[in-house]
Amino acid sequence: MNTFQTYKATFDSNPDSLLVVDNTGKIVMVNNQVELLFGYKSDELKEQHINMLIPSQNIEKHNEYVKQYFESPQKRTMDSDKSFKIYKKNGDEAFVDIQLNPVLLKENNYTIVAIRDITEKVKSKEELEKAKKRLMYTLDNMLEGAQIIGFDWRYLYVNDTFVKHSKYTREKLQKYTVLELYPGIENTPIYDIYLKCFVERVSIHLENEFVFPDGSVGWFDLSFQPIPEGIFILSIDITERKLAEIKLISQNKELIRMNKELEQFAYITSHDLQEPLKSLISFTQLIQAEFGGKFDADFEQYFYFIRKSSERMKLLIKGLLDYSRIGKNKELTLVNCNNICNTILRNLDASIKESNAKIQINNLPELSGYEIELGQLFQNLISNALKFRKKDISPIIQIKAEKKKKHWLFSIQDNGIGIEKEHFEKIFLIYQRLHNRNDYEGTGIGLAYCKKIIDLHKGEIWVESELNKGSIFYFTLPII
Amino acid sequence: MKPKLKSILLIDDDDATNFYNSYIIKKTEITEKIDVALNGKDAIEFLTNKGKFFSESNNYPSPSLILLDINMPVMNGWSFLEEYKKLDPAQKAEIVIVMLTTSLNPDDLLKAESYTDIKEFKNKPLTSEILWEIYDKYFNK
Repeated sequence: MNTFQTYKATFDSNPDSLLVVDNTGKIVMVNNQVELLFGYKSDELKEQHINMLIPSQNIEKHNEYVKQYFESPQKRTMDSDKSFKIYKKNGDEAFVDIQLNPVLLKENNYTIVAIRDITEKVKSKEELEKAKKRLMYTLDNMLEGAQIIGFDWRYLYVNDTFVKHSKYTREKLQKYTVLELYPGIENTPIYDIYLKCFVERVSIHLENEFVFPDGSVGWFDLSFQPIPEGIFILSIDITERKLAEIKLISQNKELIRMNKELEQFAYITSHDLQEPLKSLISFTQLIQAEFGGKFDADFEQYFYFIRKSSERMKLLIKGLLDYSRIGKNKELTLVNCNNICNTILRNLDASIKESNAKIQINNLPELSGYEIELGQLFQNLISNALKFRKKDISPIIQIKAEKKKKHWLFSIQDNGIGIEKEHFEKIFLIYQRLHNRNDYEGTGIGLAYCKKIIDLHKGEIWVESELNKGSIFYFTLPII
Repeated sequence: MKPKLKSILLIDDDDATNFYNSYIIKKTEITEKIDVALNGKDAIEFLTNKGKFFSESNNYPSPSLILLDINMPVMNGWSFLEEYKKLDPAQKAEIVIVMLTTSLNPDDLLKAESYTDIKEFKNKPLTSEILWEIYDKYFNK
């Protein structure tokens, strides 16, 4: 093997692109790598000026450089931090590092240019920079506070939101340790969380009530994350939400207390009101028995109103008392609605016969509920259907139940006088009556009663109706 | 002798109340005539000669004074006032409405003040003093 061939082979197999350039900048020789890197055949490059491989916008600068170089040729070694952009024959761009090696051949100055393709390296460095920028931008501008604390309790990084959370300036945070900024933190539960994350290297998420050195209190949702440098903490200020929550809880407690008081009030008043009323009624009965017929017509008339009014008051108070008692001493049992309704029909036998009513009960379910209350519910709805019948038509009442996903849907349909739409809600309020007492007797408690019973069962009750066509009362009882 | 009012309309669902109020009014001899409506709807029909008070006459009763209850079935006092607002002036002329109620609820008093048709708000029971006070204030000019 001759020496030239050996050198040529070495020249060609060099992983860098090698060019030999004379002192006028003319390319004398190139190796195979040049062809691969630039896409030019060696014949296309030979005898051409080196500027052929320089991007046009850099040629002027390059000429300047070449001139300086040839004045006193000095070796330039590869410098991993610097890269030059070049264009391939097909227009693709690539990044390269360059080494210049001046040599004296046959008394002429030549330069061996070694060009190393570092495109991959440059691109991945660029990507890394981009990713880092993106990450920092995100961290810096997050609505959550972000902080990195080193093992020496110093803040290595804080974003603007955390600066706000910390109630210190960025300068202070950079100057002092966590322990110096929040003296006494060692004695609070949150200190153990820091330690756990520092030492045991576990992630922890918690809501924390924090008392600042100035005595103010804040609530934060905190995520502790161990990272190689120490710990990373993400913080969300939930003070406003917490305050609203605390307010809501206390309002709720107050509401429950007031409701209890109201129930108690209704119960006590209605109970105590009965006492004098009972005396009143007893004495009217006494007067009636002893003096009935002994006085004039005016007296009889006035006395009639006294009796009527006291009897009505008795009904109203009894209703209120019963209403306030709903749900007291309640007991959840398995209730057979068929049995309940059949009992009610027996109780209502007289008024059913009198009105010639037809009542159809479709197979009703057995379900978990408060038996006595459900009995009162059916009793009220069925007797309403009987009561509010049309004058000349016998009542037809149909009671049905349909199983839905989460509840039973009951319906009690009648062919009675119906209800105007504007009263659909009002009828379920206590003491609301739609008719004159002379037309339909009643206290206006019945449906309020039903509503309370259904509320107790966490169901719903409503009516669909058309005047003169009849009503359908619906209610739901949850399947437990 | 003071001149008597033309008529007084009582709007209340309670028979005992109507009986008692009529009795007190008769005793004072303040009016020629007393009419009774059992609720707001009755009252509107009475004032407009409709329903069970049907009359082809264009002479509406237009009473001098109305004593109005709040809580009544069919149409309560507030709904009556809403309907009353819409009436033809000939049907409501010369009427002074006094809300007469057992309500001790201050909200009702506040609400009553928002209706210009309501001139007074009095609690039951009706007395001859109340009647003369109204008479002197609105009719004895």
